[in-house]
Amino acid sequence: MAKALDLYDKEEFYRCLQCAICTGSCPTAQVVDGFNPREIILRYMLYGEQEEVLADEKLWCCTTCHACQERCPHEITISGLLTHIMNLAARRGNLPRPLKENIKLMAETGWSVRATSHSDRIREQLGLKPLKRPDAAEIRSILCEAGLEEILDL
Amino acid sequence: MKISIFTGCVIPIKYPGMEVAMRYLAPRLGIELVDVKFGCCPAPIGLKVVHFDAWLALAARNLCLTEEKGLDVVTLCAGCTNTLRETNHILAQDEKKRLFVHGMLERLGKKYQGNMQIFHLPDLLSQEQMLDRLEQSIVRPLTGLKVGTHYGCHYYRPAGTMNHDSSNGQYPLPETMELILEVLGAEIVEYNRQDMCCGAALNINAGRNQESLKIAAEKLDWMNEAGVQALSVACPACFTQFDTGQLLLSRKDRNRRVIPVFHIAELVAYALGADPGVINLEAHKVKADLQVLTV
Amino acid sequence: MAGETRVSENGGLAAGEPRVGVYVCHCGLNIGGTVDCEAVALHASKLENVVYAEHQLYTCSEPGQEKIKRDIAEHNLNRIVVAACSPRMHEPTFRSCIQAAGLNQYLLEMANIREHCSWVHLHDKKEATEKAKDLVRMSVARARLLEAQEEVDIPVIQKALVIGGGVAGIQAALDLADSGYEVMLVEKEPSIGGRMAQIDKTFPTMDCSICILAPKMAEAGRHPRIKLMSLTEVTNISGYVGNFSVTVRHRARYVTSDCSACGECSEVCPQFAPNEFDIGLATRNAIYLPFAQAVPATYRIDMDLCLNRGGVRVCEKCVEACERKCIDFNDRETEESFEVGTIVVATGVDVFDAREIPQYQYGRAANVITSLEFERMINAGGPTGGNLIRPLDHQVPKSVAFLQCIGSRSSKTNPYCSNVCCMNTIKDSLLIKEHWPDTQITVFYIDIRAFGKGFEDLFQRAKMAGVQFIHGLPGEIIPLKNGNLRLVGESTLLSKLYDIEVELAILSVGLKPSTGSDLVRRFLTLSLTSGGFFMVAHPKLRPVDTSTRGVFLAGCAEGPKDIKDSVTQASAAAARANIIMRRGKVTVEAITARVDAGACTGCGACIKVCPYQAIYLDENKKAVVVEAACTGCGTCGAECQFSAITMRHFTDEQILAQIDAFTEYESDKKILAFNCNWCSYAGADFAGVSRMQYPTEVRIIRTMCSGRVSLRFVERAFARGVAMVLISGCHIGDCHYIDANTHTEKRFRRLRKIMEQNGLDPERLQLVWVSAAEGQRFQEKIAAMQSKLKTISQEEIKRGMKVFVEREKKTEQRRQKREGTNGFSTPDRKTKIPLVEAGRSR
Repeated sequence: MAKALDLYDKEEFYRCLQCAICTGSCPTAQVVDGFNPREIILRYMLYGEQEEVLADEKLWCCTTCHACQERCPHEITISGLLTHIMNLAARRGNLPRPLKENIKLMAETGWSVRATSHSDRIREQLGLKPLKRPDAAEIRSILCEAGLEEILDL
Repeated sequence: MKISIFTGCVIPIKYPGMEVAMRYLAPRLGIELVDVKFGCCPAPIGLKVVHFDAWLALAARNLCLTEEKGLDVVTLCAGCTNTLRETNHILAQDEKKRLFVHGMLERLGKKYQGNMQIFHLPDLLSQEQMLDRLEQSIVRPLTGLKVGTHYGCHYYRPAGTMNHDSSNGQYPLPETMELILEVLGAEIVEYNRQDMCCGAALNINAGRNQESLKIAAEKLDWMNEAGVQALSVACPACFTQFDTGQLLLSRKDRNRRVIPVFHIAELVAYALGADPGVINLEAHKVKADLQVLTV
Repeated sequence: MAGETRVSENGGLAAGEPRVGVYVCHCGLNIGGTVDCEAVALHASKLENVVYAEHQLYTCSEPGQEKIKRDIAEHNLNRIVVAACSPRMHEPTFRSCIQAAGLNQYLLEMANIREHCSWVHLHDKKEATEKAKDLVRMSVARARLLEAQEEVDIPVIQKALVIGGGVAGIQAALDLADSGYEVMLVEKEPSIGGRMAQIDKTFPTMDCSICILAPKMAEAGRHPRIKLMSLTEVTNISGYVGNFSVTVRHRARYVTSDCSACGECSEVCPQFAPNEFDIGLATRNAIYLPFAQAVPATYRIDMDLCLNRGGVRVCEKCVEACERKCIDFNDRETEESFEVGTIVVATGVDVFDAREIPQYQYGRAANVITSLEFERMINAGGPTGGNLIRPLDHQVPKSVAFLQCIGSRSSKTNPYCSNVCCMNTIKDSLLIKEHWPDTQITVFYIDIRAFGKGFEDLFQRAKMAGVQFIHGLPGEIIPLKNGNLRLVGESTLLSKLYDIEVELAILSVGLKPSTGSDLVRRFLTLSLTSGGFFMVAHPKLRPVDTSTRGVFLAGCAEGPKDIKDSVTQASAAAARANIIMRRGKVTVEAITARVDAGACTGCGACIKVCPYQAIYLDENKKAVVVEAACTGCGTCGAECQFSAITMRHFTDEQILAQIDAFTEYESDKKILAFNCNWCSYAGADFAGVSRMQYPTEVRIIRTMCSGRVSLRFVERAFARGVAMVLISGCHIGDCHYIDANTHTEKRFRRLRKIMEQNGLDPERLQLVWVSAAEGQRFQEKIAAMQSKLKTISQEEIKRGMKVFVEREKKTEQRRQKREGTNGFSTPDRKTKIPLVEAGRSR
């Protein structure tokens, strides 16, 4: 975890009052049973139950909408924590397939959406120039150098 | 003005009509668009939540590409805006991250200075002089169109990073699209939970289609209650969520009142004279007949 | 452990010479657990003039004090040094002790080896002991030069000022007036009563609030010794305890005291505006009485609303209707000045503006109201006649939600807990149940604080009445078309989301210090806590005193609290004020400035900097200090270039002796810090009390004000090879002596320039403003300075010593030329200031 992200302040989580405004603002919490930002803070930061939290597939239901963080009375960077936790979970193999595919596609083409002959044709019909391809090799090399291969094989 | 255009991955492939709309409105407002070989931004709901450092490095690489040309960037997607602006922010503030990224870029012969600004399309068009130019160039005003806006979380949150002033000082939403739409002659309709996320990522990342649609459905219900006739968005992910989303929702509930969804670029292009065919409005899943709506 | 007597080998000094007794206190393990008190006592016993030294377990205890008294007699001691806790703690204790033994109380010196040593260097016993030795040496050096002082008594004016006419102000005024003093009760609103007049019922007794308040208000209004000044604001306060000069501004009322409150004028007034007392839920006219039980029961005209506001009389309807002819459009604002002996500050609170939290829709959704608006509605005399109705459609709600902690316990709004909201909501829910028992009431909370007498019982009653308590605040309030409100959140105790529709939502808004209290704060140089309320002198032992003598706090001005605590505090403040006024005189501490006319050149520099204008030039063009107005800040003394001013009990000689004392060894490894008595010394004490650890290099010298710190002291320190010097004081604007610290800053900049010009590192001199609450700031500063200290080379130290020794020589040469002597200018000057001698460093 040498390059683990540290963009949030660990100290601030001890200010959490467990007021539950975060969970009350979370759109995912409303529709996915068992997804609960308040509980994630409680278990991960305050109770030290880190492995259990990291193994939960439901983590990936976070839409990173930042509503929890914006409304927290103590301005705790909750989305920062969730981003961090998802990063760590990925390193433990808890990573949903759509995301894996998305990243592999990026390493291959430089983009995360695949162009098809159909989409090329529509572009031509609408009078648009063909797609300008990015330097996929450079992108791939950055991905490798940044350490992506600790999560998945490129 | 000259500015590089960051289309992102989705619009050029899935919704090329929006790209046409952008390239239509730009010259009419005195904007010269420059194409740059940008890669995926990368998406804040994609690589960022899997490998933060890789995301940061690739975003910085994109910024270098436009910086080499000395140009600011205009984006069409809230996600791209978030990635690029947050990267700027992080590299300015966090020395460790800055050194890490600079090291990587150096080896590719690139150097990142952090001098350019990132404009999301509504930011650009809601500037004083742009609004003036818009007003002077309107061919088809959107009079009679009762439009609601959905900003997409990544455009304006977290507030500190995305540098958004609240609109009317009290409600925490931006008002850039409202300013543009009002100049175009449309009537703005507010609705409940306007700042709630569309829920797209729930589907894209976790594959939870049903749950994701429940979120979109709630938003659409509020829009219907308030009398919104058309929805203006500034993000292709939100667009898919509401456009394709309503298609799926109305299959289950035939009586559901559907609201056509537009990217702000499409509405502006139409008002400046683009025919629906030119900007490919018929590709929308929910019938998007602007001529009917603005009668 | 305690009490081994050690008599120094230097016994038998001549009479008249200082005979110093040193007592090193263990304070149980507080000091003894870290500092080797025996070694410190031994070190002290070897110092010149120390005749007696011992270490004790608890010096402040009765046996401890008795021992000191016996030793004074037995060993003929005439100076006492107590090395123990902070002098802010026990200086008065030991002063009384030695006074009882026949010594002048100013012959006591304390070394702070607890708050500034043992408590902050818990893990560094060796260094802590060495530091304690240094501190004792400094104290002995000062003690040698202490002189007996006589204190002057000045008379106390037998009048009191109470600022604020809420229940706390009223109570304090009544107590003081009943004790026999004249009281000026100043209230900025047209009527007294404050927040308590707006509340319906009180908790936990469920008394009618205005019913129990009105008799007190009436009493205050008619009391022969209370001069009630409503619609009046304080515009200036100057002076000092026993003798405050107050100026107030009476706003124009436009109605004379002949008014019988018949109300005929209001009936015919054509103008309407929202009524502030009812939080805008009802209207009033331009001529109005704020509420029925107002005291004084005199109407007033809001001239901004009245049609005659342009100065032209266009409407006279009220004049025509008034039988008693008591309307006076010629009324004007007036100013009044008076003098008082003591002041009670009872400026109260305002409520949090819930529009700052947009997701709760206050100000946008009609059926979201605040707790204060609820109080007005449920009150029988209020805008709805006691009916709880929804603002939107005037229907009685069948379901009500209370949201707690709105604008409290949040770093985005107010960080503190507002104390009363939990009980207020419990009381409100019972009131609703009483009248509309079928109402569904839900309270959304984070904690329920039912800490006081009878509070827990009331909480039980609410639960028994069927009020539901849900732990977990809603994320937002969604307004529905029918006026109902949808609340979405998590009930954490069930780990389940709730999605509830209610007909009325009440936000339990927090309390914040009243606007306008800021002016009072500045006049009286009061400190504020981090929450913005007034700070007391000691949170446990002096809970109604401020650090400004003669000024006391009562009620919510000191912090949010309920009526019982406000009244209690008000009576306490009155009692404290009473002590001063009953005594009739106040003793001026003998720390005032004295000018040596022989050395004075009449340059006037001292006059320019005195914050109290207490110095003037006499007919001989010599500066003279008005003793009664002098507070002893020392700014004049530091400013005088001719050493003509002596600051009694904090003389230049004493401070220089302290500096010389600790720089005898290893000065190049030490940091000298000057801390001011009121803020930064207290801040360093606070760091000690909180056990915040910082490096051992620092030695603190106490002055009353940072303005006392003369550049002579700093230059002497550098001349003696001190590595770094820190000057610390109150924040600008908060100086206990008004603006003396602005001169500190100027001097600091001047010396930094001089250091730069001489090729020295200016960063060796630092300045920091530290308030009494900022222990952490002091800790961080010392830690930062220690990091810097490690980079200072020996060359730099030596260079500094050379530069400043030269400068001191030159200054002395100039003085000799001027005064033609070798150190004494007048017989008043008893000691010669020795020139700097190089200190020994390793």
